[in-house]
Amino acid sequence: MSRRLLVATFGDERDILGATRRARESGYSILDVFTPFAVHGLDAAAGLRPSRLPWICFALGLTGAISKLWYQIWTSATSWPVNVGGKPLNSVPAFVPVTFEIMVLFAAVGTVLAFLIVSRLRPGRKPAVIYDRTTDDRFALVLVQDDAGFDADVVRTLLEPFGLLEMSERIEDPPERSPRGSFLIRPVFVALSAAGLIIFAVLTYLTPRDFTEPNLLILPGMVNSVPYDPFSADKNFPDGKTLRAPVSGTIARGFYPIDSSKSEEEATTVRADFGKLSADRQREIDELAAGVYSTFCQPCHGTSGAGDGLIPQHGYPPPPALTAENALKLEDGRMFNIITFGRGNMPSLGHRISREDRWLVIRHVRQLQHTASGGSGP
Amino acid sequence: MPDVVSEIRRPLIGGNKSYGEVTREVCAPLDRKSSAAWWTTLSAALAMLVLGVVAVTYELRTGIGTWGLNNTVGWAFDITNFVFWIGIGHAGTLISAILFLFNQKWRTSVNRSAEAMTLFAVMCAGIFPVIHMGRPWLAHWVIPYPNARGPLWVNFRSPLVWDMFAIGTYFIVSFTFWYVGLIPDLATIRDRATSKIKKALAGFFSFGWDGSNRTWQRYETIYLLLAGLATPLVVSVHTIVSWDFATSLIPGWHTTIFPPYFVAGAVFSGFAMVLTLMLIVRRVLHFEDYITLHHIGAMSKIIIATGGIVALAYATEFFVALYSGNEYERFTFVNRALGPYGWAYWTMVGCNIGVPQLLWLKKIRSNVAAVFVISLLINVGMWFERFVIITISLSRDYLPASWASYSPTTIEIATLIGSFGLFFTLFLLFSRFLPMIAIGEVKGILRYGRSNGKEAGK
Repeated sequence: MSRRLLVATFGDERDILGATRRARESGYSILDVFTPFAVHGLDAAAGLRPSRLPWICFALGLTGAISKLWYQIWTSATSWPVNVGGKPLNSVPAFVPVTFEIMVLFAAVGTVLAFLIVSRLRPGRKPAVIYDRTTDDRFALVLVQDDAGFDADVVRTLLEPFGLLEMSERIEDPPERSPRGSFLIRPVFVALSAAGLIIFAVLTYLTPRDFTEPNLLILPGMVNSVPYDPFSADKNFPDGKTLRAPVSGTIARGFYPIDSSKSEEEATTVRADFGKLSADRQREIDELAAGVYSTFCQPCHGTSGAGDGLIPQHGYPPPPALTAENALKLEDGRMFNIITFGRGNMPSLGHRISREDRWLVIRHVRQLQHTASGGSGP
Repeated sequence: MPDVVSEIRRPLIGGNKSYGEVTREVCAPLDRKSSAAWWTTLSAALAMLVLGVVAVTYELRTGIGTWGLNNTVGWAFDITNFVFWIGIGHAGTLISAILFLFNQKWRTSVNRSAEAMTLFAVMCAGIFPVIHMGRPWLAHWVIPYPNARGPLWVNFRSPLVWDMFAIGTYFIVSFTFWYVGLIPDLATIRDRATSKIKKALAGFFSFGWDGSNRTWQRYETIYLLLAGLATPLVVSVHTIVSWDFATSLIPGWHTTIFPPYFVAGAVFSGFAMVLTLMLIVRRVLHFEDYITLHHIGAMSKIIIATGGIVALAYATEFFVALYSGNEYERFTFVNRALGPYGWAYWTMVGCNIGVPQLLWLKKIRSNVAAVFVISLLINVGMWFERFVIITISLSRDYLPASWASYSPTTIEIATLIGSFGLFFTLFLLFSRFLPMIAIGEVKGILRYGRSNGKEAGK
């Protein structure tokens, strides 16, 4: 719907006050008055009723205060009652400061939001500027030419004594005052909001919640899955059992297969891979290896591996030297086997020396052999 | 037409300006290219800010042991800075809300900057309690939201929780108040902007303001409501800050005089900071006609009044300590004045009670340089007031065995410098990109005290 508008501009606040009052008294319908600042008395001159925003402010403040007071009582006395210095759980005087702050917060922020909504102000809204200097130094009175007897010249004579600067007619449909109104009441927006609310309500109904539990679980099927009895029948598997056999080759945590080096083939190929080690780490490992060797091997094999330990010195048959030709040819895996299961007079040490330490011992033996053959260091 | 000046009411804005002149002059700093002085000051402020960021980062990585705190003095530099900045913040709301309710029209020239100053000061203040927590990544635990820890709620009987609510509300409401005031001026900038980016930005943030009379009417209504709400709020904030101390049992903290004493001190220090900033702004941005000697005089008088309340509070504390017959209380105050930190106490007394008395003289009040120096000294004095109350009281409590002294580390000093850097950086950016004076409000009082002004439209 387009309207014929008459825009009269003025340069002073007293002029616009007088002109507005005169136009209204003469029965013209005033669309609006645009001013660069709040001109006191102009709302009365234009016949505006006082704003009802104070009521909104009051209601919001009351809402904030009541809900915050309830929240404090609920958290402190019901949800998790904590005895603080023997004070009563429901210590209302101590709840006053926060109640007050939240009242102010709700009232202040809520009132401003209400103001923006009723005034249809929002970020990025295109202003319906009817005259481009009304935010600088001009005052514009906008009249609606709503009846056939409207005569611009009569208006001009009427407003001339108030220092009328300019008068122009325009036909337009100001987007902001259009009957379609704010986007908040447009059908699409309303329909979308309603649909959203319904979906939310349905989802809420379908996902019942235990309010004694802390977390809100949305669609909790994955969290509270239905368990099967391990020994019950199961139609999902061809063998009809619920309990599944582990995948072949599965090793339980902390259990190493001890039979890995029993076989002749593995005894010749298996070896520990210490990888590339930094100098520090290498030193550390070598120290560990020497420690294990001195605890478990040295009593018989001797410090240098020559078979001259304390026990042979006291008459026990000495073991063959670890630096002998025969020992040099032993594969790592074979040596591991011997330590684990023993050989000849040597007892099995598999149950006393851990798997890792056995590999460390082999590492140390190799170093002893290296030293004995004239090399220095590995 | 001659400029007729009323005998009773002097014009608040000098120079007999038209509406258009007000728009042009206030927006001039936004249109000009940034001056070399602006860049220099900004660089200095940024350098301070970077120093603070480095200090805080180091503190966060290393731990709170980088501060000089010990078992006895657990609150010192950080909480002093917190109370200092929060106090500074109070002048903004006082000017925009309380002076509005009292119909003090001169406030229109300074309220915008004072409110901005409030926001920036509250931001600076907010940093300190958070880093003081020691584990700031758990700072959200002070918010009572439904959580997986029980749900474990905050203790609503604790003044520290009240503090969080008070300062949070204060920041949000101050920001809202400031922004609502800014909307019409952003519309002014939008309509006179020549650059496309500026027009688009001002257009977006001015919410499509068009100066409609209906909107102005509602705007005035909510402005009054916000002022009515902010007035008790501003009093409550520093009252609650003072309860952080007053509800404890430390001699020197445990007094009922704290709320009014702190609020008066906050207003006192806030006005000093407003004066410091406004005297610079007035000179640098050529706002001599807007921030006149009348404004400076009015603010000086508020400083004398609140300074008087502060002086009375100092005296009352000593009297109560004497009259109570409580030996710990007596010792605390004797120690305050004559103990190892006596120099801090006498700095405070000199700056807060001595120096402001000069403002009784009209000659001093109308000497801009003198007022500037006095305002700086008051800032120093008010910082020391918080230091005196917090650190001296803690360092000498009931048991001499637990006495300890405190001195700040370089990290703490760098953090304080950093907070000043943040404050000045924000203020300088504000002065460059937003109107420092509420254009719409100043236009409304152009006629004040002039029975007949220049024809504004010509």
